[in-house]
Amino acid sequence: MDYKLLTMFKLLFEKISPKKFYYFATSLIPWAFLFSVIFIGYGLYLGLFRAPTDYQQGEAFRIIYVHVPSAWLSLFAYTSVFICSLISIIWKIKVFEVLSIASAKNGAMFTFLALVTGSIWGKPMWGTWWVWDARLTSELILFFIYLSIIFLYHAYDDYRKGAKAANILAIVGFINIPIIHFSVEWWNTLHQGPSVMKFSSPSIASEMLYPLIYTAIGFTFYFILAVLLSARNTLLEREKNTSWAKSI
Amino acid sequence: MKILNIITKEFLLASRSGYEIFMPIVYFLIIIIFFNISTSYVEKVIMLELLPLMIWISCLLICILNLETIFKEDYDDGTLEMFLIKDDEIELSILIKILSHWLLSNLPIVIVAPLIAMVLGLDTTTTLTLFVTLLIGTPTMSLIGSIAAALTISLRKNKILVSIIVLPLYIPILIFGTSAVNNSFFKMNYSVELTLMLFLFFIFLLITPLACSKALKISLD
Repeated sequence: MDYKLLTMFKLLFEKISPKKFYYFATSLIPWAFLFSVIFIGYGLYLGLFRAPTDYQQGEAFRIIYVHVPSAWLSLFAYTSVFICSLISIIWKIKVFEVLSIASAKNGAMFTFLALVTGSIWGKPMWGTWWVWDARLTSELILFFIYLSIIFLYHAYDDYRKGAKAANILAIVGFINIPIIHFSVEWWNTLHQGPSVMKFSSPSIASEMLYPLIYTAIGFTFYFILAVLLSARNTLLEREKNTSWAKSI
Repeated sequence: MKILNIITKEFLLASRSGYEIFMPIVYFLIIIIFFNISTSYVEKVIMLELLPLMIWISCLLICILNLETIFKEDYDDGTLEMFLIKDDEIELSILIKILSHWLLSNLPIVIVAPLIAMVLGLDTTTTLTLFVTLLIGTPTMSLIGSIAAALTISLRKNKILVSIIVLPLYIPILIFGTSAVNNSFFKMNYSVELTLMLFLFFIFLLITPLACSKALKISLD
């Protein structure tokens, strides 16, 4: 059973060559672009102009329409790095090596964005730019894990070796992230509790929540777009001496 | 048999290369002097409270500094390559290498640090807790660090990179270790922290041999 499953995956992944991926990405990129523009635009319009003003935080709360989606993507991107790393370590596929590094770079960017927007939001709310609170700290540590993956990749002259080393680090980091998060929660936090992830009844008004969902979907499409673009460019540069790359 | 062979080899090497085993201790003492000078403007009561935490951080830093020696010598003279080609129990051998590295370069610190703490006026229970947490914490740090050392072994400038890779992964150990020591200082319960540290140790005991052998194979490819 397991063996059959493995051979099935093998057959599936053997079909993924840089050339095929290039055309696949090229066909996907316009759609990702379109959806990201639509969702981010609509979400931001609703969030910035239609959503009611928060009675406690005033207009300043509207930064959540950037902050929460980037925080969500910082985790989503790491999951994507992890899955790509696992596939590239097990089946040794060039495309997934490139994809994992591209996701790591974009994930680092979103983590940075989440930190910066959180800090800007924190200034009027708490009176300081930074507090040593559990979620902020684990986000910061996540940022450093992303950076160490990227640094390790660039430290190697041979990019395939670098990507493989970075993939192993990403897998070790993935096992570590829940542990780090749990241990950082050890401290008492002054952050407000999560307001979206309560599945039964969100404690946020629906006029404020829907734009958030739209921007989150839009950001996810943007992430896919950015990863595909970056992976496509990297592959084209790596394969510039092959016949298919020259024919483009 | 093999376990004994590797450990004897490492100990022989250490004994022949002279005073290597004392270097971390001396380094540790110097760091303690630096800490004491830089925080001497703080009140005496707070100084005593800071002391075990300072010692914890110094031990952690020393553990990072000597990480790259785990595989470095064997990599330089080519033993490591032979060993990866020939050996059929690479995971076990890696664990033994980490163990001997820990015995030679971290255990001295684990023994000396509580003594220093006691000399500087820490009470007995906290000193004991410091010893126990270091005894559980430093092997975990060696285990995590060996992955980073294996990943960066073929790089020329790897010193800072190893620290950057390793430091975020050390944070849980630092949190539980310092929390246990602090709780013990204020006569509070710290059994949860010790259990969690043991848990971390066993998790990395499982992960490290696999990740490390994979990483070494990639670096020596």
